[in-house]
Amino acid sequence: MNNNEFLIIGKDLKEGEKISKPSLTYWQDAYRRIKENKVTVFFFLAIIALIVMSIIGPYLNRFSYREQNLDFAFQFGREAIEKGHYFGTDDFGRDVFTRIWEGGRISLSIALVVVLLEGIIGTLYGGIAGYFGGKIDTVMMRIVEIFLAIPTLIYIILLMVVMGPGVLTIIIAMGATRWMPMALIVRGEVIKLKEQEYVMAAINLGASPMWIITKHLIPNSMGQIIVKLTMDIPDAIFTEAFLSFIGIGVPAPLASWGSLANDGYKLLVRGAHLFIIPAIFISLTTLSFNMVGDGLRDALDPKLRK
Amino acid sequence: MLKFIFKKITMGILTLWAIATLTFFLLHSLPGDPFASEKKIPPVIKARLMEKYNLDKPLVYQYGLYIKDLFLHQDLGISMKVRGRSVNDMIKSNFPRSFILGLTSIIIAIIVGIPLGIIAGLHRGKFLDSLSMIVAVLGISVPSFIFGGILQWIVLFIKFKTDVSILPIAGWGTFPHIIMPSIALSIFSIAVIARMMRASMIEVLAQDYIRTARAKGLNNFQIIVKHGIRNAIMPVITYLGPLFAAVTTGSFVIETVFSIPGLGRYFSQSILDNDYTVTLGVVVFYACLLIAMMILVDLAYGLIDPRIRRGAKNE
Amino acid sequence: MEDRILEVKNLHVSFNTYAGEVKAIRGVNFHVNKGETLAIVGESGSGKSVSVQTVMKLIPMPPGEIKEGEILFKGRDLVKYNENDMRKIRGGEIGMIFQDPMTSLNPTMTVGKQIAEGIIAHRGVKKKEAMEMALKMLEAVHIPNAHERINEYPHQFSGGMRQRVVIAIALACNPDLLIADEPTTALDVTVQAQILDLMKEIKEKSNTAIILITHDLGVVADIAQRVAVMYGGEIMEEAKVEDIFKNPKHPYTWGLIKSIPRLNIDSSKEKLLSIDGTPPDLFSPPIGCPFAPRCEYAMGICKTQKPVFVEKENSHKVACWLEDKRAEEVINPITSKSTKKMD
Repeated sequence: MNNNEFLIIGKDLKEGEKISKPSLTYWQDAYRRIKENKVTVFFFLAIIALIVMSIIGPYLNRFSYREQNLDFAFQFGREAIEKGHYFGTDDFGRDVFTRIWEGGRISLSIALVVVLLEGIIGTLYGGIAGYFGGKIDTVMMRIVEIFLAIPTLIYIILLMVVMGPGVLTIIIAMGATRWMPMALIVRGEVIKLKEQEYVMAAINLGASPMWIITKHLIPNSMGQIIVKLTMDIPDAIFTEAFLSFIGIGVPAPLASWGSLANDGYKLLVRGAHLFIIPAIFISLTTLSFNMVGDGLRDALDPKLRK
Repeated sequence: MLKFIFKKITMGILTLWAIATLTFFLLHSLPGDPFASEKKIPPVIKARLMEKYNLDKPLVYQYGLYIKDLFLHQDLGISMKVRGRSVNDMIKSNFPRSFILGLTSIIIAIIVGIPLGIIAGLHRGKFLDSLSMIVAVLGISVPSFIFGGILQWIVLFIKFKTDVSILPIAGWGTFPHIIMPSIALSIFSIAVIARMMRASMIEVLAQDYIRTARAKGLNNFQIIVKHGIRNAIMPVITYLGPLFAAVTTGSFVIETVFSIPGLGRYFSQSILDNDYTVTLGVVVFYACLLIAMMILVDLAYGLIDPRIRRGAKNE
Repeated sequence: MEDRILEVKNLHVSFNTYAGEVKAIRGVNFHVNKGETLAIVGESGSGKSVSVQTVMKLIPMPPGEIKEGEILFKGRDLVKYNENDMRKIRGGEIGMIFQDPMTSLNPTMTVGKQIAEGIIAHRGVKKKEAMEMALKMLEAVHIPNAHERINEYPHQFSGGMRQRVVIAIALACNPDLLIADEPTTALDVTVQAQILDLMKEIKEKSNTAIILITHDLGVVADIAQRVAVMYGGEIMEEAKVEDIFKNPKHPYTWGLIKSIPRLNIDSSKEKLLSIDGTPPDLFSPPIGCPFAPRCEYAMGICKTQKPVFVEKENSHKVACWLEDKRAEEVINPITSKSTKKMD
């Protein structure tokens, strides 16, 4: 050790400020966390698979969804598979495999459209109420509170009774009522964000309310919105299945997983597969969306950032 | 405190009125009339029926009559399908069965869900946690009526193979009849409560006062129960209201699946039969019930959380 | 040899995180004598809280881990104690209070019960007797109307009052040592003074030893007998309070003292001083002296080798290469004397 080592050099701040962990943006961090969570990824792929199958499924075997063959009804098992009926046949001899995927198209489309609708309406309503606050907020929220006193399902049932069965009416009925809980959440987020300084800065710079709402408040609530939407899809599928099960859902000859389950249930003793198969698909889809929603929520939660 | 109750009750009545009004106008906007589905009725008789049910009067008049009967006499009218039977009577005879079913489900949900959530929260990240949460996610994902159907199928299958009927798959009347329907109805709620309790436990255990409790030298049981669970259970209590609502709506289908002569099944039936008064009456009844339940839950929460009970000073 | 109630020797504590091992404390030594108040001073992240929480073994292990060292409390090594034995120590022989009184108390339990809990656990008395003792504690910390307030809930007390309750809980079983982790940081200045007075009173009445963690040198001057200065997970300097103010030896301590705001500063002539730079990254802790990157007087050797912790006169210890014979002469900015002169 020579005495050169003892000469005074002074500060070396760059050395001290080296940070070993790379710094990530909110979304990059979320993406990393999701990727790491194998379960979430698995179920996400499952959802993709279900959607793809719903689109191409009906073309995969040579049967159509309404082709009847009364001599070959209630078949299930090896014999049926050899004939091309992978999931067997129903009480009219129709191919269950094709009908399941046709049903999937309807169930999934309804769910996705409804959730999109409720997302747009709910976000706008909640964003406006939360941003403006005061009397506007109170009035808007009172209205919502009154309606939310009873489960939205009851309104949906009433609307279905009034409008009659049909895919369009289901979408309208569900969309018209389900935006309210979403509005509540968005309003909550907006109120939290409103207090942040960058919003006050934007206001001081003269930004218009619509600008602030759409450019600052909504993008920053996106995390919560996405999670809620993802969790609402299984609920929408469930609601549609529920409606079909009590008889006011998708009308024949169209099929949804819910109506298939209903029909299958009535024939439980003669052909259990007619109930069990749609039941499995409903459950599987709901499970997948729930798992993905859970994973998304954990990934987007800033408190869990490591 | 009294002011709090008063405010809630007023809101409740207002809400009830709004819902009754909405439902009334919705149902009466249906094209045709409730008798359209029946076999040909001679016009004279039909006219008399219309007169009897006031269906020939202007809508607003009907509405006024309805509200008057509702609020002043709590009279929900007469069924259009089963003539002569008052809706109040129908509710009175059918609701108790639904009530028992619902109550049993809620009790099951609480007894199973809360401990499940606590265990999951305490063993976070470990096997017990993952197991509990998988069960919970399945519980949320499988619709209750499908679950009910599967339970029935299992019993039938067992009967088919062994000729033993372990549980009645439908009907009402004895204790075994309640078992499957209430389990099916409770699954969803068990799952929700378990997840809530778990999240609440995890959040509470990270609080500073838990650290204080450890620094005092208390043993694990005291820390977890007196400091942990006591605080963690609060959010779950607020869920009791929505829980009640979920069980109520769930009962519509469960009663159908298990052929239980309860209010839910009559409701579903009245929809298919276009029996306005029954549909309307049941909606109003349920609304009343749910609102009352919400108020009770709010009250209960206020009593349990000392911060609300005694008012916050020096905040 | 003075009567040492607590002696920490060569303590190394790390945290195993997903990103690697965080070496929070690397070779820390300090001691507290009976009835004495030791202050531990340092910035956030210097390791002060981790050190004392490790004494109570309150750090969750995993992910925390005591890699090396001894913690001698009344001669017994706490590192070797199992959880059961630690529980008897916690609250019974060592009491601890934390920074934020608003969140340190259970909101759903009365204040009296929270004090009595510890008493029942350690003294084995019945509830009634424990509540009487709790009442006495509340009076000892000067809560007015104690016999009424004992059945109230934490939210009904103000911040300063709550901290008194926290102190009452910590002292309920008459421990030999009280550890206070920044007890006044979250309070108003006036309330701060009251709490410090209370602690001084307690020290006098029951001769309790106190370890006080703070980043406020004013508090140190007020209540402590000895001070340890921590930085980057290591102790830089340790001395009696008068010595640390009159004759500090470590450049970090110089920086701390220089940055104390003084009322008689002429703002046109002098700026409010602070120490440039940020604390070190503990994932890859510096090999040499942790303060080197921010030190005006850093030398080549400071970056490559840790300075030896030497003891000078009057139990004044310091870890700095400036103390080495081969180092250049430097003027101590506080005393204005040369570091080479014999002091």
